Amino acid sequence: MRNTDNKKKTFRGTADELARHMAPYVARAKVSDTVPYKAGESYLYEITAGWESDLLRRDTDTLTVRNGFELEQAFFAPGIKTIYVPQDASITRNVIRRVCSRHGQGKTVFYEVNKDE
Amino acid sequence: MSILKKPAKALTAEDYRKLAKPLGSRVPYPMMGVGYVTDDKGKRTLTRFLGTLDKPLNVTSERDLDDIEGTLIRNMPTPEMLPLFYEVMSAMDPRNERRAMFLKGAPGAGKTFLGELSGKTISPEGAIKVDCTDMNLNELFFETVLDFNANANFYDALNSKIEKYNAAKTQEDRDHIFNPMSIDILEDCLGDAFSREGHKIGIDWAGVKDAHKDEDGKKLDTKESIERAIDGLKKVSTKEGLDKLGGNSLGMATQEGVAWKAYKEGRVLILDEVNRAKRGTFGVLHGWMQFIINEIDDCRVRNPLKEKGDSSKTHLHFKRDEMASGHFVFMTGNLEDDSDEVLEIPEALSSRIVPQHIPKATVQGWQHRICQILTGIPISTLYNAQSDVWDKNPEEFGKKLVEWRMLREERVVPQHQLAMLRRWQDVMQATENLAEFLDSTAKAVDPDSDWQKIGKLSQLLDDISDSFKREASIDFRKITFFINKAFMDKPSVRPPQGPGAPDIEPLIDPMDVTESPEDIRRKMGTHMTYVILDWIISNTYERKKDDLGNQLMQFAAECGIVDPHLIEGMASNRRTFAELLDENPFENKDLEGRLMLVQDLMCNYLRREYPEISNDNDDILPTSVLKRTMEDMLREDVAPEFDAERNVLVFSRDPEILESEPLTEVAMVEGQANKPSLDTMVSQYSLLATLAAPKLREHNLVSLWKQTLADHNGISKGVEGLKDTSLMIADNDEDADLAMTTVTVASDDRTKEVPLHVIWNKHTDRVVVVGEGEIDSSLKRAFNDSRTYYVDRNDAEAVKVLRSGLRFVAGADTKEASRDLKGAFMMRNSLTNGDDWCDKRVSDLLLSRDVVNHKPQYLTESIAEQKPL
Repeated sequence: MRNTDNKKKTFRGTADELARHMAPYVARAKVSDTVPYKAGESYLYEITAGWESDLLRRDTDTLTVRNGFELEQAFFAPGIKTIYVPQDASITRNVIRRVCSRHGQGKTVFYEVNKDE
Repeated sequence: MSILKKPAKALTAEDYRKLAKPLGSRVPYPMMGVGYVTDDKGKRTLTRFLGTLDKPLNVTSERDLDDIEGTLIRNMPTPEMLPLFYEVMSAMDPRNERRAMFLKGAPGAGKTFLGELSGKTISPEGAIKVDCTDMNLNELFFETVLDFNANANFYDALNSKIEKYNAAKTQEDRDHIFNPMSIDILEDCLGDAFSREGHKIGIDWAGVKDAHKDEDGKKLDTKESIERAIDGLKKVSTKEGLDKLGGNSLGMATQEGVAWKAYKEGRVLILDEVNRAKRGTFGVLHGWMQFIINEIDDCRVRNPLKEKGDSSKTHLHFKRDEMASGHFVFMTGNLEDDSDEVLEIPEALSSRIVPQHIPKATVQGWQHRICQILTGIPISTLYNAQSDVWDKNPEEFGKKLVEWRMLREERVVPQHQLAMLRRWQDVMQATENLAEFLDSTAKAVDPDSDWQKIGKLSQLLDDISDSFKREASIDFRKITFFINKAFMDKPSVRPPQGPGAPDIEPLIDPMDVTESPEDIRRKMGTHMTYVILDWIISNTYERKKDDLGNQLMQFAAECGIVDPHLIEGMASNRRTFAELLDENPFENKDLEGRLMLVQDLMCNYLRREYPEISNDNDDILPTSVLKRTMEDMLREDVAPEFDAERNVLVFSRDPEILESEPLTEVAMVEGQANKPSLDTMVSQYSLLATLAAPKLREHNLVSLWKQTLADHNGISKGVEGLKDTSLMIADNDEDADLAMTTVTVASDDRTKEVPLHVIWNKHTDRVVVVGEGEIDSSLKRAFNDSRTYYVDRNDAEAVKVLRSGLRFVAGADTKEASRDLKGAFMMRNSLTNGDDWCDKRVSDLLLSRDVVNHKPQYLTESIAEQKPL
């Protein structure tokens, strides 16, 4: 079978390092067990603050944005595939949906929400 | 430099070689063909057929072939659109000098989708899409925007204030950060680009230019929108003391529009709904379109926004020699008779670029889109194009689907999609049902459909006005609508059921109460059924369109969206849409997901049995042990041994042997003479827990009917060819869907015997158990997940709960099923009070305390030799 994952990385290290390396993937897998909202070509996952959100945010492949300007800019960067919107960012669901719908590139957007919502 | 930014004339042979990507060379790509097809009887017919590309299609793209294959398999156009897709892909070749296409069709038919697909195929940046509805088409060339660069200090300060405002904990704090009037002004001046979410506010700055509508709901020109925004922002600036940062001198800028950007960058430009643009603005397209389709080599477009002192250009000069080779213009439009707002394109334009019509959707098209939206990949078309290959190796097809779904997918793939791909056969059947329903419904609610034209549904025409057609029309977008709604939690409401009132079928079974998004995902079929029924009711019965409502319900029953039994006079054994699409954990080949649940169940059970155990689940019983046990049970070489003996298995009670033997075989003994002591009798909980465990459930359910009544119990099997239905049910005959039996177990505190009545629908794998005493929450949850319905006969509501359970297990056709079940029940039980059981309802019999088990079966942990009966 051909390699279908262009981001696949090889890894050699101690068990701790391996766990640290794997953690963001585990977090993504856990979050993707929920159903995303599709806006344009992008997937919008809502997540509550916790270890998963912390790991996703710290992942070097993820860009954290804080306002509508930064979110818009992220869509002009082809290298950015995953965008993290913290709960305290000045970005609402409506803004995310509008921006995602405007752009043809498919990104994964994680939107952190309050547990009570 | 990107090759597609180079003008076509500058492209070298090497550039062309790099751009040409052979689609269909490695992954079989479906395509419609025309030719002679031979049927089963050897008859040859000239027809259009779905097959796979025999020769690769050269796709123009800067992306690599893996990327393109992944994108084009996931986003494959519907079968009826594949020929058009082929044409579009061929037209993108830089050697083609006509760089425009115009696609027309009904709303939601897939015009824009095709344009977007070509955009993302040719380059990673994708197409630039413009919604032309109410748009002044001059703005394709010059547009007005907020001048962020000239007023950066002001916008930075405003954003910083908004961030503080959003972080504030109290309204008082928020009022200190922003004057409440400023927030109102922002909301007003920024229109749709402003949004609130609880106490949080957000602004889509790039969307401000399109954020306002006039009183008739038509979009304002960007200039007017920006002027409104600036007017409001200046007021906010004064109120918030941002004047010194440039708030007083806020300005707008005129910049080149998207037509220029796409021309320079070699991008696909989609002019969506172009025939809904602002009346009187089409003139600007004439010269430009002549240039795009290679009638002229250059054209100038004047800047109508240019004012005195404005630094913007006076005009744009488009030149063939400078046009980037990837540039292509897609125009999409609705049909003129769709709405009064659809304009006729001026002849000078339409004669130059003749519209191509999007074919109407077929059932295959519907199914294709449903699969695509549900799973991210068009399972049905991929299967149908090579069904002969995949029928030989269905597992391989499941693996391929997952591989293609993941092929260069850069987004995080939802787990529910992968789960559905692994059980693609069920999804195929479910989506076919839904496709048939949507196709029929689309024809029924469209007065211009073929069905209506030939008078097939003429009785419904009175119910369908123009406004109704617009509101209730069915197109591909409805699929997304239904699915998005299905993912939302719904209230679970039991209809009133007063004394003597007829039973009313709830729309959603109490078993399907949802608890979390994960639960909803597992019961996707049930939720979609609810949403569709809700849509039918709100669009028909609640609008006094009963005839149409009845017709749509009829379609829903015929297509298995609702249980056909709900519709009078209809009967069917086929699985409903919900049954097919809901995730059945016991059909899931991936055991991992279920192991934790079983571990939790079993550990709770052991803690109850042995209160001294206080360890964590993993210490009591590692999932690795559980997994090994389950895998052993699945191994083919072990299975025959189980089959031969058919002994019931329960979780071991002895912690000493738990790790080596988590499961213990127990015996089923018959007759009073063999009655075991309460100490050795299997407890109710230990049997129930196994009914929630993968594979173990099926094994135990089969084993419960090990002792048959026919022949060796003095009961005749029936005359040749004529079997008694009740006996078939009591003996779990292979020709009966239902099976029913009674086994005696010990109460959980081992103080008394408990007759456990079990009804199993093998067709739907639903089980109802009538026992005694409440069950704990972990078992309840496991039962919810495993289509098992438990009724505590001590429960004050037991009658109601059991009746609902009987509908759950036997379907709505309870009259006939009830008679057969009663007969089966009385083969092992009898009434002690002399009442005639024929007059009783099956629910009363199952709950009655005046029942004696005259052919008792006991489950015992002691495997001693059975005494003869």
